[in-house]
Amino acid sequence: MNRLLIVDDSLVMRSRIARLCASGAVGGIEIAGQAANGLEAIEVARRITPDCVTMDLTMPEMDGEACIAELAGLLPEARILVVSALSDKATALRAIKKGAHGFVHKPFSDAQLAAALKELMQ
Amino acid sequence: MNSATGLLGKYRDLVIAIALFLVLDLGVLLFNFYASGRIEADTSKINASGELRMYSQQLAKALLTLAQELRDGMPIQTSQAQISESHANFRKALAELARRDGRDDAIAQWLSREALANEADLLRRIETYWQPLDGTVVPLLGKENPEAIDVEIAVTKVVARNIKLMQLANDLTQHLETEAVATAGRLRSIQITAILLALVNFAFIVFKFVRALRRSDRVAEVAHEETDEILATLREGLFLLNADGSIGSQRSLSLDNLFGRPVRTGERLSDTLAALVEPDTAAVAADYVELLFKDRIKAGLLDQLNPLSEVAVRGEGEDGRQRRHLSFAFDQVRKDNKVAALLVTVHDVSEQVRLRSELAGAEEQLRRDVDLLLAVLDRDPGLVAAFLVSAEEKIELMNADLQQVEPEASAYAGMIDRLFRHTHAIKGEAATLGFGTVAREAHAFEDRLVPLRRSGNISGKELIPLAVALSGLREQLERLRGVYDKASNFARPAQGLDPVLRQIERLTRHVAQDLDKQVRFEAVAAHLPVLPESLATLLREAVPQLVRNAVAHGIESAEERLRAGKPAEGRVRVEVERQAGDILAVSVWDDGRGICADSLRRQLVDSGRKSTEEAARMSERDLFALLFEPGFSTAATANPHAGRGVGLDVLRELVARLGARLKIATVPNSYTRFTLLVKA
Amino acid sequence: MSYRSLRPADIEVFSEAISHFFATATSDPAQVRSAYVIERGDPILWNDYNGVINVDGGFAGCVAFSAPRSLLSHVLLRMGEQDFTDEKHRDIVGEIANILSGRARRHFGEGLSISTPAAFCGRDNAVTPRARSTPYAIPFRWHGYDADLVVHLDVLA
Repeated sequence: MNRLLIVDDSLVMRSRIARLCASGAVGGIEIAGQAANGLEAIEVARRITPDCVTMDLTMPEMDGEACIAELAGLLPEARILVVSALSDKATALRAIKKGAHGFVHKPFSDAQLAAALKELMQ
Repeated sequence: MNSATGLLGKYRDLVIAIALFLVLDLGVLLFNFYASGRIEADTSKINASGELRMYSQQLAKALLTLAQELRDGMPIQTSQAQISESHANFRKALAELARRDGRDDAIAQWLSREALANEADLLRRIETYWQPLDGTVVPLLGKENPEAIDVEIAVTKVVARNIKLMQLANDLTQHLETEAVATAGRLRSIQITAILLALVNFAFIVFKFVRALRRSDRVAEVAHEETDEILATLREGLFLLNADGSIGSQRSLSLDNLFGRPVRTGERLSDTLAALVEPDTAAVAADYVELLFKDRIKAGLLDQLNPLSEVAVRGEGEDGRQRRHLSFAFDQVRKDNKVAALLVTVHDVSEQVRLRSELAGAEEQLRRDVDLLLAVLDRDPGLVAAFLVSAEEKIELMNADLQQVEPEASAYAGMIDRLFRHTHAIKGEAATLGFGTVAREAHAFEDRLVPLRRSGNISGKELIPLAVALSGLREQLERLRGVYDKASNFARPAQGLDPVLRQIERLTRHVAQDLDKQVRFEAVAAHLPVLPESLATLLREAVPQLVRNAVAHGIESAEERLRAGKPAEGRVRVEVERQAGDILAVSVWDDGRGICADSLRRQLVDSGRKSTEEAARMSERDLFALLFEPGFSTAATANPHAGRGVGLDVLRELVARLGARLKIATVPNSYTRFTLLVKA
Repeated sequence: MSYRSLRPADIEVFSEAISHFFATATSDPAQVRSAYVIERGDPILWNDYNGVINVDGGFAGCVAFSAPRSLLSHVLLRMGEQDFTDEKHRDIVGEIANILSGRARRHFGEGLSISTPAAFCGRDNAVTPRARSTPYAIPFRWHGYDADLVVHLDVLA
């Protein structure tokens, strides 16, 4: 069972991702924790050591890019999927380079996110 | 294992055929052995059978000699020895004939069962006849002095049986000879058949083998051709990108075309891209490709970040029109779960991009001509103010229309018509007053509307450029308003008709100049101490349209006029007069070609709006009414003064709004007069 | 500082973002009705919920998503939400504004730096204009609800 940490400043987005995972559309995944910004994400990740992370980029306190860099050092085994509305490629690529594994645009359909999560866990 | 079965499977027929060939050959060889053995045996039996006859004769002769010698008291040793020899030889030949080797086996039985039976039968009969002889002759052999009586008996028996024995031996010989010939013939047939079979088999093998070879050659050839073909004609480019960032040797020829220059094996993609795309994009692409070579990254999860998914090629058509766009797609080629190379596919997507950008239709901003605006200040401030108020009102109406329109085709169509009328009115007024910047903005707005008006299927998105164009028009009006507000502090509005007529005269000259026509403007106006609002509106909004129409449609070119026997210079006259019952009449008259009912009919038929019969049935009144329908124009091509099919359409709305009446009088090739009647 | 106002293509990118968002996130398309100019003096936000993204970088202004509560409730429902608190509505209106302006970076590039969303209820006058050019509204209809995306943006030269 892969343990997932959801990082997004939008409550609705977090619960949408959580529901998708709970629905069984993505097999072998369980929600281990949620965080509304980068700082909180680091703190939660230390505690729960997730296997996978979905990461928003535009967030208050600490943005996704900085958070990915921290997490990559903290949990080198964790796989990070960037889920963001930022569609300019240079920024997203920078975030991936810091240690993420994939990218999904907001808005996304359930099927899109489910497929990305499955591929992330493979 | 699998491939071995596969190999056998593929060559099964061939393997069986060759095995059969070997079996047949071996069979023929063995059969030859057999046949030669059989022929040898047959020959020796034929000889033996011949000997039987001979020895039987010899025995008889020797016995007769013995009997004679006994009677004559002569020595008998020689004849006794002869008897003994012939007897032994006879038995030997008989034994030879009785040997069954090679005659009881299956092949012999199958070949000549009946003949062998006959042979055995004959042999038995010979033995039967021989047996008593043997019994009488054997006792004679050991004795030195055989009894004469015994010899006589033996002679009698031998002579009596010799004929029959010779007969039987003869029969046997003949039988054996015939049978040997027959058997040899049968054996030969079998051999020939077997050899033929082997030959057929051989031919089959050769045929089969050659065909299989040729087929596989052809398949290989075709496959080769196909690969060449694919790589040569693929519109999309294909290449392998090595981990060191170099382009591999396996790539399609079309790549050269796509990149606009020959690609070398081993060339670095970053160099290729540096020459091909903007530096920013090339830098992002380098990052992207680097990430794709990381084993933890899955290409599928980064698709959305591909900076080369639709990229403009540098250095071509910098005006942005003919610029080519390429699309690169990357697939990871993994070995042992490590990314060994990237398979890169390149498409030319210029056409798609062009279509999209055409839809987007990035508009060139209109030049703002403040100087001209300032020059406008020498116009009558009253007219400017009135224009501003009416134009601003129209802009507001148009924006409200855009805001409230329901997303339905009919609502869109109605709105486009209204926008067209308002814009056209603003354009006309602005041109009359000489506000070129406003008129140009309005004209640009009309340009946006034209395709929408023709399209039966408008979507909300297509209205976006209208909002922007409207904003541009509004901006120009605001600019004008700003200047006017400042200027109006020290300008006093003029009164009466004169300023209005001067503006109209200016418009007439302007339109005539633009259309390269010679026109004289005349104005005849009643004295009016105050300008009633209805008349002012007509003069501001309707008359400019009518004058524009008169110059554009009515007045002919100088040559045409001369050919028609008219003066080269055409005349346009505006008259304002008071009629009975507080009615004011404004008319615009020109001495041009008039309106020809027949040419209107023809135009209706040509444009497909009416059939020939329907058009023929229409009255002049109905035909002229068409001039006031939206979208109807008599000019062949659109220019700023004619041809949009708007103008008279505006008039109709205005007439309705003011409760005015409109009259048309026309004589082809002579004149046209539009008269507007309004209550004072 | 000089600026240029928006071109049709600049605004169309937002219209496209609306279509894309609703098609992808709710699998029901939104119908962009039109586009119009917001008159000077008119409030740029007027609906029940308004999500505002401030834009900086080579740009000045904001992108605002203004929608009736019912539309947002319906979107929440589509996303599988069960409770429809005020907080959820504020959250989603901000998130949509964020997603729509995020997508605009495709067109405007990395220079379009966008803030985290701020959500307002009703005709809050908390929004002071940050751009000088004309604000545009893109009215659209989704499931019978009317909402607007407001684009008030100067492209700094």
